[in-house]
Amino acid sequence: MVRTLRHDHKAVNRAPARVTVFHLGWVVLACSIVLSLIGIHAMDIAKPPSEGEAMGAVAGRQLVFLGMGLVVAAGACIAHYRILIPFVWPIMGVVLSMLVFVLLPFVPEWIVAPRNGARRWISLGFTDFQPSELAKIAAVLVTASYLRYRDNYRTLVGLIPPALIATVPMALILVEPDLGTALLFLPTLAAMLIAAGARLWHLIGTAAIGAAFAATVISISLAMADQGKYPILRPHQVERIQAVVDRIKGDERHLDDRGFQGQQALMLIGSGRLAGHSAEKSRALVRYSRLPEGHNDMIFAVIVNRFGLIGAWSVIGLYTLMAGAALGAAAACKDPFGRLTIVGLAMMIATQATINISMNLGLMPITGMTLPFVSAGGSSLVAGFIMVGLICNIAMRRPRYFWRKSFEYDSPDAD
Amino acid sequence: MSRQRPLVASMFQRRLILLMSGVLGVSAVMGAQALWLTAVEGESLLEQAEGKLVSERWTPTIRGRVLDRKGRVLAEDAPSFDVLVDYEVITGEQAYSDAARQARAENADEWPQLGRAARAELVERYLPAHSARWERMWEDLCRALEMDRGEVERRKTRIRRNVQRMAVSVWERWLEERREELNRDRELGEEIEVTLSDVRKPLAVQRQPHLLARGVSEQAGFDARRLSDLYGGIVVEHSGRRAYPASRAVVEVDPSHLPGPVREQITGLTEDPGEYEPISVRVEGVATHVLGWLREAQREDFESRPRKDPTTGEVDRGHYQPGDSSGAQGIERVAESSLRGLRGRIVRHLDTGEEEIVEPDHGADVHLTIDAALQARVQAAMDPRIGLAQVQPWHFSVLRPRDYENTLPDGTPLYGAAVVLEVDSGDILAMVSTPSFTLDQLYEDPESVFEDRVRAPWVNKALAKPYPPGSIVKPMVLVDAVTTGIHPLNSTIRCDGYLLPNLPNNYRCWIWKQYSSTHSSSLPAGLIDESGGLGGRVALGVSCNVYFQTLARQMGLSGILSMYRRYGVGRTYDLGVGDEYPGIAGGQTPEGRLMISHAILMGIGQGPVAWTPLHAADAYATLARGGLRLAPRLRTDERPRAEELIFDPAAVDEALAGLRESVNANFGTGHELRYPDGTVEPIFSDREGIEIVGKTGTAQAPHLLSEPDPETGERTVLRQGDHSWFVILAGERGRPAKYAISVIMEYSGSGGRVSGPICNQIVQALVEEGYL
Repeated sequence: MVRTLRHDHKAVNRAPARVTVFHLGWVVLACSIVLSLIGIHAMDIAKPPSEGEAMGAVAGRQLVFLGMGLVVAAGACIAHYRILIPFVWPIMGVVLSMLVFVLLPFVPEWIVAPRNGARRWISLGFTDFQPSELAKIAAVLVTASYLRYRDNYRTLVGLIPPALIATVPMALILVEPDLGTALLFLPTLAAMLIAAGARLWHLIGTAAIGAAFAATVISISLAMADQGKYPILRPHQVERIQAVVDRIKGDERHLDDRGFQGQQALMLIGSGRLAGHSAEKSRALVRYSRLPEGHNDMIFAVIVNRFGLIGAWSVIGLYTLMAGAALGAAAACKDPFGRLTIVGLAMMIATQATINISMNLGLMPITGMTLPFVSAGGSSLVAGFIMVGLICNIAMRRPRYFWRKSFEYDSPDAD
Repeated sequence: MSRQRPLVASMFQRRLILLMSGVLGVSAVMGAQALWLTAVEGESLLEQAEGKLVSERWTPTIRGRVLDRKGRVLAEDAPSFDVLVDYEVITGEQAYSDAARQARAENADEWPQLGRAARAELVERYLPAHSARWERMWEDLCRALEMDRGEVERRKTRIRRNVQRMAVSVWERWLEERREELNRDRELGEEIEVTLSDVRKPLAVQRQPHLLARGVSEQAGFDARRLSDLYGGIVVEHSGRRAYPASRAVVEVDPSHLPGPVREQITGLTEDPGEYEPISVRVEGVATHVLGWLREAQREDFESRPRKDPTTGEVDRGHYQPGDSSGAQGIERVAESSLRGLRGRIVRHLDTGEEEIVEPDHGADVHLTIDAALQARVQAAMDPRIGLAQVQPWHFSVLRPRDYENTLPDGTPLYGAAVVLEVDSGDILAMVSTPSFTLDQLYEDPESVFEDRVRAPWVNKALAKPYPPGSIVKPMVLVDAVTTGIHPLNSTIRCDGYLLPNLPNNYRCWIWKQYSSTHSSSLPAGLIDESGGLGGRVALGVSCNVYFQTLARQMGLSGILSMYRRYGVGRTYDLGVGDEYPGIAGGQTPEGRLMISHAILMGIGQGPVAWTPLHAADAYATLARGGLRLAPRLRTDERPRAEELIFDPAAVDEALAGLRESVNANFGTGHELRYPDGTVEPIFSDREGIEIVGKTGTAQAPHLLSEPDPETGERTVLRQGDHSWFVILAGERGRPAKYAISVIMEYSGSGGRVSGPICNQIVQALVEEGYL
């Protein structure tokens, strides 16, 4: 069966693609541009310009990155996405090498400069490059490539290979350490497996076991932390969980230490009320709140402070619209690789946005994760636009002839 | 069984719908949380956020004054000011900031294009003018504060050093914490390097004004404020230093009213020059016991008045902050809440630079019933340097050996207390306890205040120390016995030297004890009846113990106890100026229980009974009012508390007549001073139109013992003998008495000889202050 499909696939590869102008990729692109512009404005609030300057330095740089991102996105649209397929594993190999490279202790600091104890960035001179951003894309491509003609993932054992694909880069990123980015891989893989037709009860069962395991780890960590021991999670990770627990319990004793960042974010979000404040007032509120990472991880709080609930709903709505449009594009796509790639990329963005917004809103512990397209950071933005470019690439290309429907299983628990 | 056909035929699309549903669900949750935070918690969070936009500085409270009954200032916040200067002005950074601001404003077009070095170069061009301006400010400030420039520079250096030391210590702590945070969970690899520059952020102390000069004069404060308007960067605040202007006074004493030997002693004149030069006596610590003092605010103060009410959230402008003062003793303590006042508040809006200033509200003034000048005069009269409050050769009975009563050498200072009460109002005009102490003494040599058992300066002896009443209680016993019908006024009692014929060594009369005589046998016929019996008037005049022991025996234990209770013994006056002794009647006795013998002793103010000079003055004032008891008060805003004791008016008249005899009749115990050379002098000067009635009291007192020796455990006798009482009522002749005066001198012997002349000086003080 697989062999036959591969044979057909080769035939399709030879057939010229039909490019459409009207496709949902535009919506995804539009959402990402609007989000980026909102982010640039928020950076201008969080890191205001000096007197006499029109725009803050961080916002200005981000504007340049946006331009670069759009160029990269355009570039990612030019060639047919299917030419990537033979290269997904080599790409993954390169990315994994880079992930290993940043961890090598002998690499000089002018190449890999640790920041706050984390080794995530390779210095390119004019900017820093974060290999984990590429790893997210590579993992989606490899997973899509792996799953596209298979159906063994519909068995429990068959879930192991795709899980390994996600686990290897995830483990390397965890060691950096970058728990936030590492956390994105499993939900994305799950979303791709769901889309690919994996049995739901397998996934639900695995997720339940995973959740139970996570709950146990958290409980033990919290209990041991009271005795000053941190056998599993690191102290700062435990403290971030404790900050959420404190908030739920209404314990205000630690608002100046472990709960500070979260509390300041909530304060800025709430103080935005329904319509927000003028840029000037918002700048003052953000500045004197001393919110850490206001241009970065906590930028959502700055946006809500500036634009109020309207801003919050707009950003959430834009991500929802982006995900919806991307999934719509996936639905319109007949190519299994294209379908899964879109689903993977869209869910990667959606998951990252969800985690970031949730931690800003006090629903999740702070994990140190940027808001895609919105937070400051060149490699994050450029990687985001690579994803958007790939989604557009897939959305704009339709097969020339009727394509066999992929991921359609007629089994009792197919749904 | 065939499966139902799904709504969406494609499984892939159904899965996409499932994923989209998940996305929508998560979005809904986040949207709802955003709604909750902005719509429900928005207002309070906005308040919280806006709270961070303002820097709030509270200025100190300005404490109300304490005034005497004539409006003289007894305590006030000295009109002095603290001058503070912004830290950036102290370091000179302000000149650079000003230059930078000007450079930017005047070169607005090219500024954004300029690099860091070019900007710095531009700023340097403007810098000299600004540096010169601030230099002028320092010169002007030195002139305003009348300070040497070198001293100002030294203070600036000290401030910079302190702030830098504090900053470095804080940064080092942050650095340690940061290092620990980054490295504690690293299992492998080398330590992460964190340097001081990673954690160095400006501290609040580097942005605040710092104290350059404390407690400068009003003029200097005014000049500094003017400079603040001119240059900025200077803050002038009320310093809150408390001054007690009446605590030191120079009193002029007229020697002509002093007993002859004392007069000779202090003037050196043996012949009467006709008119004496007044003697100046400098008294210190006037009314310290009444006024009290301040201490630094403590936890109890912070808790009693927190900045924000924990339940209502209301801000209390009178809240305490570290470094504040709070009343520690006396009226400063009891009137703390009204004296304190409300803080001023300076709110600086960090975003706009605007300032809102709320001026402080002065604390309310407290008006005392005390007359500061009279108080000083009374204190002067009790000053051992005048000679009345020191052991004198004529303090001892001519017929008794000196060592019987007192072993102290001549010139030994004597200490005690005096109270002057206005009869009509119950106002305390003066309340003196000697020795007093100054606040300088309290702060610099507290041991001299708190560790001296003989002088006991910290004890307000007028209010807080128990003394047996002795014979001064006799008029009360007479009035009570007559009023209760136990003793008819027209009946008499014989004095045979002792009460019980079979116990001649117990319940003796003083005349028997000192002269082995009896009143019935020694008094002339006109003063006693045919049977040798004494009436109440004469018995009071001669202070016959047997008479009053007889009355007490007739009154019985309950009668004598209830009499004392009616006069307030057992109750404090709650004046609020420190510890008060409530007095005791019928307390713990060596026998374990009270018997009639105790009642007999209590009839002459001995045995298980003790009160204070204030009780004594109050009791005499009550007698002068014919039974109306007005609680003595120290504050004019205090509502008078009255209580009617039902007295037989005839008994009151008889008692007052007895007191008159005591002071004015030749046979009266409070009439004259008899000197060792046999000469005699009246205790009270003859003042036209002024009548004085009163009673002496020589009360047996327990020995004053030292603390037990740490090694042997033995206690040595520091003082022994009798306390000397004299209580008088003074007023215009033929009119009800206006003032009740009680005086006690500890371990000084005869009431008439020691306390009598002091009473006379107090009457003179009342005359000189216009009360009589």
